[in-house]
Amino acid sequence: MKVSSPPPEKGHPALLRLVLVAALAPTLVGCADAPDHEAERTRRARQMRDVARMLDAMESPAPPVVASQPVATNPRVAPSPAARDAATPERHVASAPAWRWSFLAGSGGLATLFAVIVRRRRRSRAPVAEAPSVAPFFAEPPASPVAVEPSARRALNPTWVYRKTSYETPGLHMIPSAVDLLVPTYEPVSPESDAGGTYLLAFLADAAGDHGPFLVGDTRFPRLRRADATTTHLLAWREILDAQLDDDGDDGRLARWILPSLETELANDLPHREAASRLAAIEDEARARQARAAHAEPSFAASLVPVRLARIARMSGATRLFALRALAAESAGATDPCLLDAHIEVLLAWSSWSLAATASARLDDADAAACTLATFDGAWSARARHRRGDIRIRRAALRRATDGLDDLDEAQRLLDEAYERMPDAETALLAARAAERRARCLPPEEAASICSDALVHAFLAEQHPAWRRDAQACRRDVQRLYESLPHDPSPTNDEIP
Amino acid sequence: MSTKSPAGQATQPFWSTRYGIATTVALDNAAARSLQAYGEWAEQETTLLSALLDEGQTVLEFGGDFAAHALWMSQVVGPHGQVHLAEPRRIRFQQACANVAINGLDNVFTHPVWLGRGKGQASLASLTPLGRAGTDEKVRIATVDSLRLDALHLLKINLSHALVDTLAGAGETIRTHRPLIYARLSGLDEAQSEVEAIKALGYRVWSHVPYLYNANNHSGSDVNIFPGVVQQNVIAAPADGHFEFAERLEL
Repeated sequence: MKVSSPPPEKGHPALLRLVLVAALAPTLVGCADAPDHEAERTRRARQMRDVARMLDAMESPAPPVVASQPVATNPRVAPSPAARDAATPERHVASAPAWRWSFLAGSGGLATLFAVIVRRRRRSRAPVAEAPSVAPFFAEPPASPVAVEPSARRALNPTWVYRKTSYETPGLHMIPSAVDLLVPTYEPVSPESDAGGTYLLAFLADAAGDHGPFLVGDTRFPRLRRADATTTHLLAWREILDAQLDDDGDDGRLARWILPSLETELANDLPHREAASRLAAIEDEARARQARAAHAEPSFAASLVPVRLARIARMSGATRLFALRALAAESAGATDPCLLDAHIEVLLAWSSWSLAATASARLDDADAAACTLATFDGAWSARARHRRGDIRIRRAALRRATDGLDDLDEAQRLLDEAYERMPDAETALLAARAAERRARCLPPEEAASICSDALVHAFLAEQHPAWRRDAQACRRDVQRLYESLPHDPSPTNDEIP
Repeated sequence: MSTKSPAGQATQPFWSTRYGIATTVALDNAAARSLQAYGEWAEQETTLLSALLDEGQTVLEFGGDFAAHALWMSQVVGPHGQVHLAEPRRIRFQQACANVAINGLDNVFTHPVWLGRGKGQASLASLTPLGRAGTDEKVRIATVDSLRLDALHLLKINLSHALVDTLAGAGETIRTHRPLIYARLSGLDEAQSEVEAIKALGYRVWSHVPYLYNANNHSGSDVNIFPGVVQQNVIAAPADGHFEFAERLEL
């Protein structure tokens, strides 16, 4: 939209007419008869002066301040010439003849006309000042695209500004490196390298990507966690492990440790009966490899525990119970921390398939074994606290909600200690679960703060892809629980300082 | 595994079952047919109860079912535990005893009695409609309390129409030992009164509805001779205990 002032030429036809009238009037007066009355001449002369003053006023407008001043209230303002003439009507020029007056008036009129024309021509040549307009504020952008350099285009990207809201997630102190226990920074190395050590872990981590499988826990005796890995991913790992099975170094030992767990996961993808026979074959193959090995590995029995538990899971009725008893009897009395931890795993699996007092008895056995494990140094001590915290949570689940609160409190304490010693995602997730279940047993005002504690731990656990899905499920449970609590409504945006 | 004759009768003296050897019996009941076809009976009951039993415990089972469950319960409770088996029907009792004997179950004790409200004798037909026509017999009646058990962790009642009377004669034992109770309900007409009788003892009751066919059966048979057939059972625990059975329907 464009708004402009009207052109200045539009007011001038009337002005021209006035000038012409002023020029012709004296001529006509001069051509009139000499014996005109003196009063008539005086009147006409006064009219001409008025016309001249009017023209002057039109050509040079008076300052607005002066124009706006009320005349009557200003005693210093002199009376107008017309008023003076009106006040002295008897003043006459009787000695001059009439034609002289007519000639002088006509000449004056012509001179005035000439002056007006010259002035108009100058004004028409002079640049006309633009009147103020709002049009520039509403000007449309140019229709034709403007050629912009690629770098300039990139610079035109908008800058987003985020404002704080009441729904914003509180900031967290993340320690991502603390949970990446088993995934060293991958540096491409040749498979034929004889450097040994962590190459196998690096290869496996590279083959896994973000979907898994993952190795979690102790770096020397890691546990396999499948996460979102497909059979194809597992087969890729098996190919890497198969190539290292006969190695006498750490990679070979690690391959022989991991392979039974990996084979178990692959067997889980088979139909029920095929899986049962395949699991039996896996156990036989592992025993045969161990028999061929140059050195006996004390932890070999522990590597078979996942296979045997998978076989037991496929049993029914009391058959499962008898198999669990046999497996627990084999691992009982272990002095090696790895075997002791495997024994705890068996007891926990047994308790998960039991009910009531029977399950509680297995948890008691597992807790006793975990106390023995706590006597070992380093990571095993933290692992023992993790196990004991897990046992407390399971024991609380066997009881009614409020009856298990003592166990959950103790579980929270043990898991906090475990996380302090070994801050890994698995412990963080378990701590989150303990907090969530504690919150369910407590009154709303206490539950709210414990929910926030559970959320923090769940967020920490989410940082490791091996535990991400479970941690997200935990976080959802905590959020649902928090939303179900009776509390004050959330502050609105206006209430946030 | 033995084969089945065209007449439906067993042709071999023994069946190899999941938990031991069982003598062949007439295939005129579901337990016998299941033992013959699958080498097991009501395995889903076994799955639940083996999660509840532990070594050294004592079990009382009313209704022998050819000792099909006594075979595994004997192993579960071990040498320091006991399994008491009450079977009022004479031939059934003898068949159960045979299976206990040939499997060498030292910790199984058999009782040829009907567990009721008091002591005495009665015709089987007056106690339960279980018997076929022409098979009625006199049975001896005893109470659970009269067995004077030193301990009792599980009271398992397999016979229908027996639950209320059995509980009536077990008041002292239940008050003393507070065992778990696992029982088969007797049908639409009696289910409510039976559940009320259990609750009257201060118990909480949950439903358990096991299928008779177990796909992972001992014989590896894919043929389901009990399609869609379930048993209407209940499991009960003292209300003042810590037992929780969240995944089951509480009655």
